[in-house]
Amino acid sequence: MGKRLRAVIRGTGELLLSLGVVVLLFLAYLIWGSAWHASRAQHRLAGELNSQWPASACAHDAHVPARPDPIHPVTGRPFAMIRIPAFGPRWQFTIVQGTSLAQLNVSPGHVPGTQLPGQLGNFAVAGHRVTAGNPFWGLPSLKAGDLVYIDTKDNTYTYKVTGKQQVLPGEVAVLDPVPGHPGQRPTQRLITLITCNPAWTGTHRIIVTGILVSAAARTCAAGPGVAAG
Amino acid sequence: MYGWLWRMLPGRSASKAALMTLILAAAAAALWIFVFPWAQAHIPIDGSSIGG
Repeated sequence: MGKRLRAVIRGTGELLLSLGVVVLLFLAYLIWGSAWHASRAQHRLAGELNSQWPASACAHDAHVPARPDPIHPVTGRPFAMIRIPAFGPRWQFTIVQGTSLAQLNVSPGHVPGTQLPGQLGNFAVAGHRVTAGNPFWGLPSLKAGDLVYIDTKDNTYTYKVTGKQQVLPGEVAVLDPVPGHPGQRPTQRLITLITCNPAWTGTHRIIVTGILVSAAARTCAAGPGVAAG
Repeated sequence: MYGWLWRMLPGRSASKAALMTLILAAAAAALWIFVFPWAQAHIPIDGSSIGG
């Protein structure tokens, strides 16, 4: 009986130790593995945009006026690139349609139901702050005046950061065409970038808002090059 | 658990140790390649969006 009890205790101990090792391994995966996974996905998604954005779609000179820009986002598929020079010259990610984990684990995603780039109203993009290549790690450090570029097949939209605030995950009013005023007709073209705050939690969100300052035909230099994961 | 596994493995200590390492490495790889990506897609580690 004592021998049997010892075997059970030993087995339980081994199991718990093993589970501890698995949890540590999962943490390592979240830090390094998910970044590798997302970086490979970014290559694939940027390649998808590259094949959909013909060379004829870009302008060879800067300051060519913006063109009509029909976008029909499909859940999980990319339709734009986001560049934020404050995060470094090579920082760029695709924007896919949708913000479920399946999408955010590979790319920042456009919040369904919010407006599209350049439109009157509010273009909302959510991204992981940690894991998946930490796309929005630097969001809290953005300052008023920093520029956010959104490239679509035809155009580049330049937004200027106007402010940031911490909100609760359920405060959907920040997604309204006129943030905080549901049902009101928008007169401005805004962008809202969303990530978690503090990092590694789900308790709050930090949102960075910006306003469109220019729209021009996308130059050939601004394309879905291989994104830095 | 590990004692039972050790006794089940054939051969002498050296080959047992090699097999044991192989089994553990295979288990870790299966976790890394299949289980963890699945878990990441189902466990909200950091909630990054608003609303639904």
